Amino acid sequence: MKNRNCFTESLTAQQLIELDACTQCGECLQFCPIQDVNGRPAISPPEKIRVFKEFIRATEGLKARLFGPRDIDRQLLEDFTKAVFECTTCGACGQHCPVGIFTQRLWPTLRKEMVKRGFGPIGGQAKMPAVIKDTGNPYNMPAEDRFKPWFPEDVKAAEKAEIAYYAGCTGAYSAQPMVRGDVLVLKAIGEPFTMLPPEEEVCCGFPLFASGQHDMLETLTKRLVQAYKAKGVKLLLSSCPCCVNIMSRDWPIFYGQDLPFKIRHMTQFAAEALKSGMLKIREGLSERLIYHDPCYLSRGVGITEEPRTILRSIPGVELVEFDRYGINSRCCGAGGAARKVYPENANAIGRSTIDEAVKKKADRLIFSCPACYAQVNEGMQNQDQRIRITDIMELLASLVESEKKSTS
Amino acid sequence: MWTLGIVLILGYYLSLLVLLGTYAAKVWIWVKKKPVNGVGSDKVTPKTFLLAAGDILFFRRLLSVNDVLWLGEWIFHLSFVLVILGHLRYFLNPVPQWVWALQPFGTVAGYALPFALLYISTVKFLVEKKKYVSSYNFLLLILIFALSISGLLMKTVYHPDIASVKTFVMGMVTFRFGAVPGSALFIFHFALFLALMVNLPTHIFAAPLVLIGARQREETLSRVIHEK
Repeated sequence: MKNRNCFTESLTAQQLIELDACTQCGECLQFCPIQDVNGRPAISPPEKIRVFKEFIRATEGLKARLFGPRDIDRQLLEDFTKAVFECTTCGACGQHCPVGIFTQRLWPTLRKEMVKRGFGPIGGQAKMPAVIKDTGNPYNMPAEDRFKPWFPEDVKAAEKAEIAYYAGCTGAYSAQPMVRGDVLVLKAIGEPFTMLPPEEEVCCGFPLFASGQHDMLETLTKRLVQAYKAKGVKLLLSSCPCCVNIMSRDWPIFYGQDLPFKIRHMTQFAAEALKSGMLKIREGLSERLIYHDPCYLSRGVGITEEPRTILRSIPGVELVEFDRYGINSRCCGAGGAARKVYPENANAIGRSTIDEAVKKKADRLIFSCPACYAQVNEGMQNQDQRIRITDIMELLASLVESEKKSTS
Repeated sequence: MWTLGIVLILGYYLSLLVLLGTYAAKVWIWVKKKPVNGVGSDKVTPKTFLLAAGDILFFRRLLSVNDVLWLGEWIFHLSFVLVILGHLRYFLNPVPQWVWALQPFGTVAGYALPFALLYISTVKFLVEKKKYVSSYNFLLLILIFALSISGLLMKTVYHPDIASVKTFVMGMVTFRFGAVPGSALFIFHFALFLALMVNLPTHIFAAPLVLIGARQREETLSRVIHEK
């Protein structure tokens, strides 16, 4: 694709207006986790917007319309691509933007535009579509190992049920205590639930969406939605914020209509079960816990209360908060499919999460996201500051009564 | 003076064409886009609209992020609007009553404007020592500061002939061209105004629309996964 072709094809009208609305005030820089670790204003949110507007001006501005589009320097396009792919897409810049630009959506869209032009994705991200096509997951792991290593032997998923559980690739391969906890909590609640066979539970599409590679998204969405529909599913549960985000926000668009089932995060389902008495906490925990809000769960779909409801339900627990929490939370470094491409950034951000949790004298750092869980564990390797890391469902599973019969 | 008059008049029309052309090109790109029926694309309710109007008028989002800077920015933007509205008396004949009624506020705003700009600069560059400073914003800052100082000087010390200013400006608006007022300060002020028109920041028109969208997103966030 020529560098003088229009740059606005992937963007919505709202996003085009958002680009023009940026005041270049730079207030967002103080909330950007990438700025915290590398401090380069050249890759900051307002600078990315300024440069992208230059691309639009050169190809579709008044001068371009009167005298023809201008060719854009390849180096500038490459630098921009690196800047937009280094972002964790956590959306903190947009959350704190004085004009409210929805950056958690804008950055993936700009990535999509650069991918279309052949400049992205970066590094290993480029292999993802082929890997997902071959194995069903972005980690190039065999489908037969998706559930086997962690799925509790005494639990059986039903062939058909109104409730389905989607483990997700990151949970299944990188955060197994979390997905095991999910299944144990589902067992404790006692409602029958179904799952797709491991070779059928393919990627939800989020890593492709986040890295701007949209070609397979419609196929993946339709495949999964139809598979759950065939099982009579009315409620689809997952513990992965990125999965529930794309399922609730984008699947209806890729599917072409409203989904035939509801999407819920596991913490919502567990919090409701605790409230209704279907789930009972068996023992207390005399610990000081600190909970990290995943960006795509808090800012993405507005879930901030339910995980806290669960943690506050545990007798003896003292819940402390990060300086930035809820929808204002700070990224752990795992977001934006950039974790493996820019590991130094991701680990440095992850370490600062640990440092703050240690500073707050928390006994345990609680997550409700497999990517956060995996990233912060990775960031803690070879570090002096250490803290016990636990997924919220892993914790809950260890404390709930499990007298009820296994689901079948 | 004749040559200068022609340059200023042509400059005015050219600046106006650039301003309108730039926005026409933008609006053309916007309207070409098909609407996407995603989450939060429901119609804006009156409640959301009122809350968004509050966000726009009082810069709520900036207040929540940086209250020190908010003070200067809010006074600056309010003063800027009042000064512009006050200047309508040069562009309209007869002058509507509401424009006359705004004149005292415009005068106060004229004094507040440079002080607000100085305050913003002090906060950004000396107190907070911002890492990111946009060269475009810096240019705007200097441009508006120079505009406000030259305007204040005309108001207080070097009074131009107001009647000839009005004749000149009305001449451009009605295509009955008059002579340029014989005030160097006015010519400087008018040239800066033309430069501002060409460089008018797009956020003036786009930010209010985005703020409505942001408020809509806040109001519908709970619907993304809780209620659906």
